[in-house]
Amino acid sequence: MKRRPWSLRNRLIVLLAGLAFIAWGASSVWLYRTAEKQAGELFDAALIEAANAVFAAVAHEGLGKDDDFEFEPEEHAHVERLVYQLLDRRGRIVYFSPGAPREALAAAGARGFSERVADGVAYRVYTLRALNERAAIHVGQRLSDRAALVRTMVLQLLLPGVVVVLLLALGVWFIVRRVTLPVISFSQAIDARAPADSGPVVVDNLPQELQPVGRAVNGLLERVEIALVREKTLTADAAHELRTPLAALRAQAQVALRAREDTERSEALQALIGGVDRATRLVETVLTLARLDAGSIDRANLPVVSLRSMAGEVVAGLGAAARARGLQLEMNVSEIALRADSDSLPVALRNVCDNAIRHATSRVQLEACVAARGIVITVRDDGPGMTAEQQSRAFDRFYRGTSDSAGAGLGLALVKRVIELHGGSVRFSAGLNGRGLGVEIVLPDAAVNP
Amino acid sequence: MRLLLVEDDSMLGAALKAGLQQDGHAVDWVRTADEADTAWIAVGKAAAYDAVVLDLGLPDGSGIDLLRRARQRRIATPVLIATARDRVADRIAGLDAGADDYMVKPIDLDELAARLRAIERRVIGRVESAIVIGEIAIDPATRSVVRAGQPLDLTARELAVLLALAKRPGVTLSRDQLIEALYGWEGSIESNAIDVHIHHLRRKLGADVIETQRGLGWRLAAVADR
Repeated sequence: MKRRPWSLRNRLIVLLAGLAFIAWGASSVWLYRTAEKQAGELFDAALIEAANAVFAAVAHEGLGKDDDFEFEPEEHAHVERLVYQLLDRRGRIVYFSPGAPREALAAAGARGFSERVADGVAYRVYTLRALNERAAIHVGQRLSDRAALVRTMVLQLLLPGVVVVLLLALGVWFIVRRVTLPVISFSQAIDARAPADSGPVVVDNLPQELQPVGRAVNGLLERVEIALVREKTLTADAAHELRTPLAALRAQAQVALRAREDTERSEALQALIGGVDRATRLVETVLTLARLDAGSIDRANLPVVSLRSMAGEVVAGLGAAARARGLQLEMNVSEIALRADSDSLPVALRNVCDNAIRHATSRVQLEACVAARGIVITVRDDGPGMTAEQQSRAFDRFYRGTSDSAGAGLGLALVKRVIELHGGSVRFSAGLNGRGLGVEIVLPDAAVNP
Repeated sequence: MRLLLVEDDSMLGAALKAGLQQDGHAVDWVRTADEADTAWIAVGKAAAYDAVVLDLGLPDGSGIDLLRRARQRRIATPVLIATARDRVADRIAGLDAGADDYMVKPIDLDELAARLRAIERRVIGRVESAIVIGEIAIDPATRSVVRAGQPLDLTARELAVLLALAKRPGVTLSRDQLIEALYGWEGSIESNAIDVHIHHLRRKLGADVIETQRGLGWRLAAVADR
């Protein structure tokens, strides 16, 4: 099951609203305790007052005799929630108010405040002893009544708090939505883009904290755009370079088919064979590149080869081509042993030298030496060279810098891939005599001492 | 027709040139946008090409840019784009840049010939594909010539001379104009080559069909009479 990612907005709303509720809850508990204490003191004061009132009535009406006294109680409206008992010297209940229990409200000899269960009901009781201990007055209040009164009072106090907390939660919800709006609209702006649209997103309206994100997104979009353009160019170039030889084959075949004379036909067929050879070379190169792309070279286990003899073979193979163009092909390679793939590295060297021979005016120079940065191989010519624009794309597949019908623009791409597989790098450098072009290959110094 | 072929690929260029020549066209072949500019645009209205076959992926620039430059200079030579770029967007861009037709490689030579004939018809405002002059009927598509119901056997060069004359009825064409229309840039043409073709045509078509304008050139007599 896929977990939904957490939401910044929801989390903020829940946390802030939760905090408000907790604060409200804590303050409510505090309020309740305070109210309970204050109310308890008030109720106790009322008990004392009621006891004194009863005593006053008793003193007024029933103090005729020494031992016993008669008592006609008055109904006190304000003490209807209170009950009282009047006890004589021997502790007998001589009078009790309506609703008062038959059992004594306090233990014999008790005075002041006490709590007691009488007739199954819990009471808070104040006991007043009077007339030299001849009489005692118990005034009681049900504990449940006291608690109910406190609850009613506290609930009334808490009600505005509930309203405030709800308003607060609403405010939190509103503010969080408001503050996170730029984030949402930013993501919607990115989301709503057409797949091919890689223009920058507007970041001016973003808050300071999101500016880096916006800039990063735009930087990414820019790089995607560049890669996309490059990919498109590559596809167009590849289509051109792969289709053209086939188109040439077809056209030559048709020319042969339409020929009316034998010489015309055999000329066309000759050209057709040349075309097939060329298409074959192209396919071979593409396959080589595909193989190089798929594989990687385990550099530690490569055989140790002599760069000098490898270069010697390459130069020997190209001698005829150089002579045909009247070029001087020079080689200056010191004896260097290195770990290299004996299939692909010579192909790379040949491609570079071949390019140089095709563009040189009089001279091509192949040199190799060991320097601090590794094994440096340079191939330089004195031809027309390349513009910066051509250089920037020359290692791209299917890119052809000049009118060069022999190649398909894969030669240098192959060189680059081979050198990269060897952990090296290749770049353009200066040519010979202040003109022409140089190609500089740097291989990691994998020279081994036998 | 006299054609300029702009194609950077040596093999394809050679094949297209050979194929177009088989159809009796005079073909000048250039491999770069630069050379095409020199041969076609720089000389302006004086350029004698009846049509340009243009590749788009040229090493020194896009064929589209070349085409745009030509149209900006008000050069109206019909242009047929022959390219490996097959996306619809490319075709639209090519046609909007001023091309008259668009073909995607691989190109069938017969189709190319037919499209060039269609361009030719449009240019001279003709509806039927056959050209009828007097009792002679020429069908450029089938390369057949009929005189009074009798099919005639003409060589490619003879047909080219006849077509050149028939295309501009009543107009006198000079020897140089005919050479240019037939041979393009090919050097080493024997000085009496045109005279030989005319001679053969007269023998096949009848002596009175092609009229010699002394010191000027030739024209179709049948048309002049009408």
